Amino acid sequence: MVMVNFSKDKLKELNLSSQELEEILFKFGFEIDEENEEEFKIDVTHDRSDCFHAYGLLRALKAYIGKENKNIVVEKDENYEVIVDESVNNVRPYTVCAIFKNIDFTDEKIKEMINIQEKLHITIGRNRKKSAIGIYPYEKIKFPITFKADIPEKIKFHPLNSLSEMTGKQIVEEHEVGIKYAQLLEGKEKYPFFIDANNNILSMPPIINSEMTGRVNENTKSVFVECSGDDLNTLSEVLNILSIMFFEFGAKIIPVKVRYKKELNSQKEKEFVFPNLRSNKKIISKNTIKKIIGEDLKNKEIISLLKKMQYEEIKELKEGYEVLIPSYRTDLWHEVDIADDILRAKGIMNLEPIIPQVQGFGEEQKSSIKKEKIEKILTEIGFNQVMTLALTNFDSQITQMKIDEKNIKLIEEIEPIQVGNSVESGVNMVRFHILPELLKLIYNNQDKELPLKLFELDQVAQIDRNEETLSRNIFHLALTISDTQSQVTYLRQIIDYLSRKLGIEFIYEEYELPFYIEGRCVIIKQKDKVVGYLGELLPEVLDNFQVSIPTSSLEINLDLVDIN
Amino acid sequence: MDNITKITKSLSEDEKLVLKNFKTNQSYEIKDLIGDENQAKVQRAILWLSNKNLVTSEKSSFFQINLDENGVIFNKNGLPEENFLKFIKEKSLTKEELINKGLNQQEIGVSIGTLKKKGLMEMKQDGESQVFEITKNGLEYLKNDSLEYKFIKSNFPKKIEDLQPEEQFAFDNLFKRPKIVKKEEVKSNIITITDLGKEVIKNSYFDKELIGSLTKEMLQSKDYKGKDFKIYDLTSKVPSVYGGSLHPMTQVVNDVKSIFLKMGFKEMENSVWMESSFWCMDSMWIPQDHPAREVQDTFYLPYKSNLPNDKDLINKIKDVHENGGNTGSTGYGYKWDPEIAMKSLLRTHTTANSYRHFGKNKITIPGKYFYIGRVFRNETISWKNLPEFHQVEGFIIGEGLTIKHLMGAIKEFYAHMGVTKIRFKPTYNPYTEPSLEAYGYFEELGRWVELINSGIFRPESLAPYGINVPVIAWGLGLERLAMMKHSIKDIRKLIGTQTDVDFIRNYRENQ
Repeated sequence: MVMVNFSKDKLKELNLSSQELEEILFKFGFEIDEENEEEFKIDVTHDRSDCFHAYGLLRALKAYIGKENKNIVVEKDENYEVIVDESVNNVRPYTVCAIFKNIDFTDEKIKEMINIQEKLHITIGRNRKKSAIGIYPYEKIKFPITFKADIPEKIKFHPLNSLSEMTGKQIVEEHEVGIKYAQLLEGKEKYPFFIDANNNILSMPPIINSEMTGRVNENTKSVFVECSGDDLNTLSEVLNILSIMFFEFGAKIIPVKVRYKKELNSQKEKEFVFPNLRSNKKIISKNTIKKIIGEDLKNKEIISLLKKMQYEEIKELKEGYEVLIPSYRTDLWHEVDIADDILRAKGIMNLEPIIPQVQGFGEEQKSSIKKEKIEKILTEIGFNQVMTLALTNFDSQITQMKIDEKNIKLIEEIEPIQVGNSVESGVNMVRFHILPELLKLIYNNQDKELPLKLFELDQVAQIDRNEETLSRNIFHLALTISDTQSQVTYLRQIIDYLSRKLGIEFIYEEYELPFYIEGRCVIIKQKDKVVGYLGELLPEVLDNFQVSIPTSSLEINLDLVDIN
Repeated sequence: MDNITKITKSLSEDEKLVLKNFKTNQSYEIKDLIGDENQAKVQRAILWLSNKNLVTSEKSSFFQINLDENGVIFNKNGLPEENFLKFIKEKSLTKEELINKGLNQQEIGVSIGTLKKKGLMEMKQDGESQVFEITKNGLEYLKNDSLEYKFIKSNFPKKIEDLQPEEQFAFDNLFKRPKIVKKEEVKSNIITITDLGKEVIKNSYFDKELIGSLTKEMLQSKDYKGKDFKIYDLTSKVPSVYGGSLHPMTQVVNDVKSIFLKMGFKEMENSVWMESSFWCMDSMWIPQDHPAREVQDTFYLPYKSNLPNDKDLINKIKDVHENGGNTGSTGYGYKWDPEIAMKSLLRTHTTANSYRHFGKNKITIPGKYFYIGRVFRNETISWKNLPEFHQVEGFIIGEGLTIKHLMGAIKEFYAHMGVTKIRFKPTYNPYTEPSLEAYGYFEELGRWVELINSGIFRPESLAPYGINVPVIAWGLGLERLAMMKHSIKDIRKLIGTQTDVDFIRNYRENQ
């Protein structure tokens, strides 16, 4: 969700009560997050970038309640030109630009302008990677402007929030904003910049504007806006959203010709004029509307709903409707998206739910049935089920268990799954056995009445290089008994009982594992297959987990256990 | 049975052992009763006896004075300054002469200070050397024993509150000097038998052998005949015992599972935690630069997954991302990068498994499927949040399914959970259109709770699998449900190594 500050003046313009506003917003899927004396703070869903600024939201609401919106007019071409040098092709190949004249800037408008810039940077702009916006006081710039790239040491200007001139290299290494976005230019031989006909550098996108030409204030009357990035369509969409805002600020939209000396894709000279506010034609079939909404809506209703959602010049065809999609809508890829708009306009609460009549028989996976059987048997003989996390660390899974770090082996060799980027300290591995997690849990429960009889029946995972994902999940059963004295024999009785109740037979053979007392450890086999192990934990291992209650455990790979 | 007999017959062997001591004395200091062995047992017995009012315990503490290291020596040899004074009584002496008499350097040093201060001795020059000469006061002083000397010669230990004024004066003076006297706190706990206790000792059952635990052997030998039984108090508090229990999350999983089974859904095959970005994201048309794919939310792993062997499928996915393929969609207009799809991660949602089933042709149409599994988000552990949780996903695939059917299926699902008031709100998901959030009104909480996210899978997400019938799907996180059901405020008490085992042992199932 993206938050939009919507002043109460705008509500007056709409002639709505707070409650009516809330109801309409709910239909759109938006929400009032907070209300104070001056404004509403409204959460807008990510797809509706046209509503990220209050003026866009206002337009959408006006259309919904049937109020006329101002027609968007682009002024005549005044021969403003931006030249894109091919040197930017390797770093930031595209830009789109426009000029907005005669703006009556107020505090509120400047704030809105800064906010929308930030919101578009974070969302559509993917943190300035895909699109970054620069806004400049038009009065301080001389056209034509050139967008080109050069080695960072050679780019020299006075950036915003700095005391003096800096080179491009200094900016990414020393300037606060430069450091923050440095990775966007990392490894690039040349950095991009805009420079005007007076040889003044306007900015070094996507990092920072210059102090001289990059600061808009209340005295500014007109602005030059550029968006730069790696995808022309996205940039054009961003510029369109900004154009609507400036237009609603009262500005005249002046087009700018962008001339690519050698456009990246075609490797030819190309010229575009921006902003491109032409609506796109799209056809939505009646069948699609019916298939999504599940109702035969009348033509009249569909047309009125489409109008409410800002579609223009709606024409009814035999099989569907031809509509014009406003240029600032970025979320309409497919006709189902238009059907969704119709649905929102109609209001989901106005539809009657239908229980689907698709036949089917409930069926569980075998592994689930096995799991439930074992859970039942173990709880019946007094074991308490616990649940620990799959995310854990090398230290507890391996080192504290005294398992050889160079040869991780329980019954067979195991390659654990490593996790690199966890924000939770102490997470660097996915568990491949459950016992260490239970030992940590026992440590935290040593004050409880003994015995502690615990089990966990869940999955573990490990690397398996034969698999498509390089990994495998396995169902494990881990059981522990902690009491004032060793209960390893009792644990043998428990596993015997479990196998009897499951109708299977286990065979036990002496074995050695690094975390069990020598001579008090066995492997568990079903026929010839080793399925698990059982033993009494070494005092040293208990000590590693700071557990001071004698504990015995078993762990079984349930995927290997056959139950009839 | 009279009350005294009842009490007598209920005594344990340990209690009797303690009580027997009181046949000779009325009171004991507790340490005399406890002895060296079985301290805990005796202490426990004393506690029980005092609970039954058979003995009383009186705790007190006082300060006691004893001679310290130097005090013991001075007790034998006298105070050094007084010895000094005695040596010079007849004749003034030099330091060397005093050492020859048996005083050591340190004693001489201390004595000079004390004697000069009291005006008992003076230092004079006798030719080349310095001599110590007794004063008139000194001679007077030697006529009687000093208070300090009397004090260290008296009997120890003494209680501080018993000191006479002269003793107090002497003690204060000596206490300032190193290691002559010491003050220690003494704790005392005196156990005294009560009148009731005395009666119990006199009772005829007190010395009789009573049957405690009845054994198989006794029954066989009929040894119990003619003997009396000890009385067990079954009214008092006893240690807890616990039965086995399923984890509350398992209960919730089972409940949700049984709802799906009742509604005729098939459980999908289990899948892996470590997924490829391909199945977790690309397979369902989540754009390659979608914010949900960014590192701060997702656990990327330092491995590189393989893409599926189905080259045709990969091409279709590529097309549908780039230009919408044959779906009539515009697509995202970027170049689809297989390297991004190969990034390994811990799956962020169970929808990955639904699309796996589409991709591996494990679905029959029409059909109803569900799956419950752990999913992962790169977040820190807190009272309300864990980096992994259980997610359930259900979908219905079949001709003619619309948004109204999705609403109907969710309504039915909620009804099985006992929630009948529901509300839908449109929302945005990258792979469903339309998308709905479904709120349920929970009477016991008195509020609306958004549990379910749902939608109709987008045509772009289905076309690569040749699916051209609608799929309606919904999912929910189960930890939230478990926390609500059991009024749990801190998720860590329920899941993970900080689990409170007593909660697991004692919670009421099927609330």
